[in-house]
Amino acid sequence: MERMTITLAADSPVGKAGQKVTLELTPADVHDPAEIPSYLAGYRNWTYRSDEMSKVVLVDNDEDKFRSFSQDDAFEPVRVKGALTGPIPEVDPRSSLDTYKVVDRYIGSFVPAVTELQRGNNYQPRMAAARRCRNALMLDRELDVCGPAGLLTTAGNWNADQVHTLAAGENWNGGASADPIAALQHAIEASAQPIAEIWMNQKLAHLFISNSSVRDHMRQLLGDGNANNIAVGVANMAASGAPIDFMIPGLPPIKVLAAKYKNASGVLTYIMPDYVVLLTTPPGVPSDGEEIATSYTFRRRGPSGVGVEAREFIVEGRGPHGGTMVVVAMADIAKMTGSNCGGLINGVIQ
Amino acid sequence: MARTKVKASEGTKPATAEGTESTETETTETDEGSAGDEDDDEVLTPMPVKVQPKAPKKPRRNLGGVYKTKNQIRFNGDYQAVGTVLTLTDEEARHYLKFGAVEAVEEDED
Repeated sequence: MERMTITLAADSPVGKAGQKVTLELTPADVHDPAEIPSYLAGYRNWTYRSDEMSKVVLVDNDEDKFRSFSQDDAFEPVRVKGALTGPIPEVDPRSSLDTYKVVDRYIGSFVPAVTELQRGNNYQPRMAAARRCRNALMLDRELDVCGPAGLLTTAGNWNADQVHTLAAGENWNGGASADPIAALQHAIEASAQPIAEIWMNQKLAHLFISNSSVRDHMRQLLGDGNANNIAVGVANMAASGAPIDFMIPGLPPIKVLAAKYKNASGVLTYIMPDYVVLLTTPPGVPSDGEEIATSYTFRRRGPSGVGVEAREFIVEGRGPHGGTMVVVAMADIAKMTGSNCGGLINGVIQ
Repeated sequence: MARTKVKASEGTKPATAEGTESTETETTETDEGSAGDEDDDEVLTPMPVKVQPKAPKKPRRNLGGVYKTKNQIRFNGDYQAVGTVLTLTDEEARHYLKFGAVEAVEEDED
């Protein structure tokens, strides 16, 4: 747009004679674009849930042993009948030791002192660095437990009887003879200990609640309203920001994992692959020799006492003015403690 | 009139995107029997076509045979325990092998 200008005929308060004065001001004349001080957007992953799947046992040392009684102590019949004056048959408790050794995870982010002095209004560099570090650590832990090659999602880590492969056509994504409830019930029956939780990713949860037999089962026992609430809850996990668990009558709680990661091909995909994982997860840490979980994570307490350290320290020798190094660290290892407790169903997607 | 056919020599360069063409050609064959072609001087330069050698198509291997289950598989409407020996068709074997659920116990005769 052409601006109108005038030439002053005589000296005046706005200028001297002959000077050109532009009559129109554009926004660019009065404002220099700058970052909106109150706006700071970003992405947040869905809730990480590996600490629920493999409950944490806080330990003091990097490496130690843990004892488990044999399953035969609970399940193997022994001859206890005898004559009144006969010899007393004896049994001994049998147990074994296994070793854990934690793996250190740590990552840092350096914030130069000069950078921090020139920060934006709501962009706190050290806080952003700490958050970035924490996310990296937690994502790695999630992948270790329930990622594509995770502890609980690798068939080879399970007792062979606990891995169930569905037949062709029984897949949940359009299989003509899919029967998800029967598949879950069979896995429950095959477990050596009670199943406390059934885990699946959001895609499988959608397929599960969309299956006609599951839907009918839900409606029959819960009514249309509650069945609808479950479906909406699973679909809206991102909006609520909270993990979704739902109950189907006759089955343990179904827990949905919707967190995603960028895979080696750069594609955003669910951390948990297309398996259904059934877990035995008794509350607390076993101490009486009569309860066991599918998996426990042994995590070093560390100086903070809670297993995760977040600290920062001044680095004087880096750059002309030094800066602050923000470090987040943890050390743990997830172990399969009861590989015949729970189960893994594959062939769900074919 | 005789029609001259030419074909590119081994050193022929492919035409570029700007339209430059190779001039390295040699006469290889004369067809005396053609008639009625008005464009006697036409030199037909074949388009350089990059021939991709086709990989010979492998015949689809028949995987049908005797297998042992490595984990519990749902088969014929029921679950088969680990270690069960089953005779599977090609399609069935392909399905269970995809999930690492079975292993062959004897050589496939096909």
